[in-house]
Amino acid sequence: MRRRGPVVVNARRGPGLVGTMARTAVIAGTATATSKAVSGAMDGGKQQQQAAAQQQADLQAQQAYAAGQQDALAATQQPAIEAPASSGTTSFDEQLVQIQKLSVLKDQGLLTEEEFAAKKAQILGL
Amino acid sequence: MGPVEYLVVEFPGNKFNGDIVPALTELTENGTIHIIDLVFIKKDADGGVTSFELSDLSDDESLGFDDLDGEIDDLLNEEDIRLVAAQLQPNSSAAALVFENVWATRLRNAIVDSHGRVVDNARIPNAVVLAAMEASGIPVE
Repeated sequence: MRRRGPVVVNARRGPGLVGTMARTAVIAGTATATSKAVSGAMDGGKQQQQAAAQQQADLQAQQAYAAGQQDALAATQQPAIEAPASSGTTSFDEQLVQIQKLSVLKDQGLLTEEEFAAKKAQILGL
Repeated sequence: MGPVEYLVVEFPGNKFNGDIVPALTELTENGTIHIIDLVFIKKDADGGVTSFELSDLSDDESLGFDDLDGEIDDLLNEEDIRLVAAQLQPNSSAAALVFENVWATRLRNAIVDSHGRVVDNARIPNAVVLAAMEASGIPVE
């Protein structure tokens, strides 16, 4: 194993992967990831000033995303709720998708375990 | 470059464990994966976190990781180490690896050569597949 980059001075100060992934998933885009990459290239002082603004931006993006997710969730659930007469049941694939979306909301802390369990039982018709 | 993933392996106790090195050696030697970053993390009983570069470890401690083919490109940054460490149990050690799935590049090249086009591709969580198999009545071992 060898190090390819310049020696040690800038070690572990790049834009990162894990945090960038999380932010990219949250806003479903790359705007924040890019701005973070830019701020990562700044010196320490500027970076700290940026961190507060970044946190605020991340929070806003997260809230916007959560709202979007809830809309998406409502959209996927509507046919099941409004048109039970057509087929009577939701296909297993659709149920899985709905549960997966709920699971994302739960992981983001937007649904409690209880809310998730209740919604899951409802989707599965238990 | 093919798709890249990161993998965090936690070992109980405060000693790094080299038991995964033979498997990684095989996967790197046969060109399945190519390692592009590696960092070691320790979390003490009080939750204190320390990270180590391979070069910080003595020959005894490095457990064969230094003989692995690959690069340490500092792709994981300090924030990543903090995020990963938050998931570790107290009094544990972990290796965080970033690697390229070289096999996927070979597959992609074969697809391009055949004038095919990748329309969709995703890694499916194991639990989803198990649930689907169960629903289809397929016995799961």
